[in-house]
Amino acid sequence: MAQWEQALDELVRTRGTALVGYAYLLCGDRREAEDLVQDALVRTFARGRLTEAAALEGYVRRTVLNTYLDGFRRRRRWAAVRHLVAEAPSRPGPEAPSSARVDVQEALATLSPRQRASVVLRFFEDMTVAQVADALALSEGAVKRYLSDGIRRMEDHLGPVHATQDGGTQDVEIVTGRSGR
Amino acid sequence: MRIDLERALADVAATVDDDVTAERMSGQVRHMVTRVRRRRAVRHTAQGVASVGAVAVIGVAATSLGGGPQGGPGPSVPPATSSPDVTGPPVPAPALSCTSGVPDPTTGTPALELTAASEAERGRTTTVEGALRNTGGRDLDLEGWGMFELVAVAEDRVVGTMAGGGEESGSLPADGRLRPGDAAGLTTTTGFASCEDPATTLAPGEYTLVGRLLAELGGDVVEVVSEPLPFTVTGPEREVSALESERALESLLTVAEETDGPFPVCGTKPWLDDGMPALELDYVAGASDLVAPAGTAVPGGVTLKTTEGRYAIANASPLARVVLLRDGVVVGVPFLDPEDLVDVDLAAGETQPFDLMTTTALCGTGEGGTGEALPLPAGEYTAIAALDLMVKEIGGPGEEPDGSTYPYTAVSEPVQVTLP
Repeated sequence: MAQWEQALDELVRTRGTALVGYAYLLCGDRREAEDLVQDALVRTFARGRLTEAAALEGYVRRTVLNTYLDGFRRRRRWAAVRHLVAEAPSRPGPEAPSSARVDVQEALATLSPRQRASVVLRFFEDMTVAQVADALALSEGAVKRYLSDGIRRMEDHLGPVHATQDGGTQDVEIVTGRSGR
Repeated sequence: MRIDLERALADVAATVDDDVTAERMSGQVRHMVTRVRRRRAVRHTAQGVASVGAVAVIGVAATSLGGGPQGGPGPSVPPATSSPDVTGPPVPAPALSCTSGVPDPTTGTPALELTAASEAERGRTTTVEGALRNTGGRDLDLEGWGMFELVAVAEDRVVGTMAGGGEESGSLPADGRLRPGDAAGLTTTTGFASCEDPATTLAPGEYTLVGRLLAELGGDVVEVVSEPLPFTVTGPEREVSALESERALESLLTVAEETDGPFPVCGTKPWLDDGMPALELDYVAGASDLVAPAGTAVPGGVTLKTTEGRYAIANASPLARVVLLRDGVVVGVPFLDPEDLVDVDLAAGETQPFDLMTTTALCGTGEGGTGEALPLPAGEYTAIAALDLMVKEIGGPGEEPDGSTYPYTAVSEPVQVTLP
């Protein structure tokens, strides 16, 4: 087995579900998330010359994000026919979904792709506004607007959310209680 | 109550962090490796073709700087007996593309002769052989070749270029000499992308294929262009990408892992080993005949027989079907809506032929399914012939027939087939 094949196998085994979780936050569909991650892995490894696991995961996350933002033309086409041959796209996990989680998912679904990406990068990926701006190829001001608008829209759905004053989201307060992804 | 957004997002992400996702992702590694290899191979091939082109340019430049074939020293000086007679555009000629125009067939020797199947299903690759034949009366020194390219032509315009496939093989004559009447062949397997929309494959229609390769003959690099070869693309007007089909197949396989069902129900993992069957099918058709577009019937493709000296009286569907399986899951079942049944009355040792219906479409799509047919991805499949019967009486030596009527599916032994 080639070195890159071992690296791919290891990355999928050790970080596969975390990557799917990240993609799931972006797209909101379990099966689509798996597709996104698989596409990103293929793109990343097809480039070659990548060996460090941490760098690989970073590339994959970046590719997931770009694929998500670059549009859904192909995936929309797939989504249009998938029901013909497959089960419902989202299957509940072993745990029953809590109503709070469902509410958050519904609130995320109300956001535009860039709003959603900004929220996920800022509050799930723990990026600073500057890093989010770099990842999305936007100005920091634009990211702040996306965050502000996005969180306001989520609040319309969820009620008030905790957020900090960090990162320019002046109208929300973030609680930094999460220890890991 | 306020929601902690960070924790809430982590909780949402965690909903997919389970064994189901882990298993499904792990199960896709082999497929991802294949996709990566394919992409790397395509890139490697593209680089290789560029290198051959560069060599050709260097060869011609060397010839020019030397004052032509007769004027310069070194390896670019061709032997007087092997100078090609071919007349065509000067080399290096531009690569064939949607905007390059249709190249004119070259005259003289050598000639490039194309051979390919007369038709191919949309989106599937086609194997084309380009034979470089010495049509002259003296030996040619064939020192190298490359850049075997094909274009699809309609109404004197290039309408399709090579895409996908990319496997190329062929060998030069062992002694480097192409004798009068002899040919050396290059074979390539390729699909065609539409010039109108390069993201799609060539639409169904009537075309001609024109081939071009660069050959190094006696120190000269020459362009050799074939005569057009008629070529038909069949299939649906709408493009279905290979990736789309692969994903649909993967989904079907994933779902089928937990689904048992009678043979041959689409998307199930049937249990076929139930001891000695009372009726069985034998293939008459070869494995290559079993791979044909949906709706194709192979005349007399199978025969029905009883086993262990039994006799059988039954009604049968007029056609048997080739059922395709991947990893033990039914993924291709030809749609059959028989209006008539045929009588079966077999004594021990007798056989009855049945035409065999084939498919290359993913089951559950197309005719008899929902939506447009998705082609099965290229690759290896297991083909099992199946014939639906309504058995009326069946018995063996010394057995009393029970007289009950029941449905029965006679099947063949599995054979491995390859979809291009």
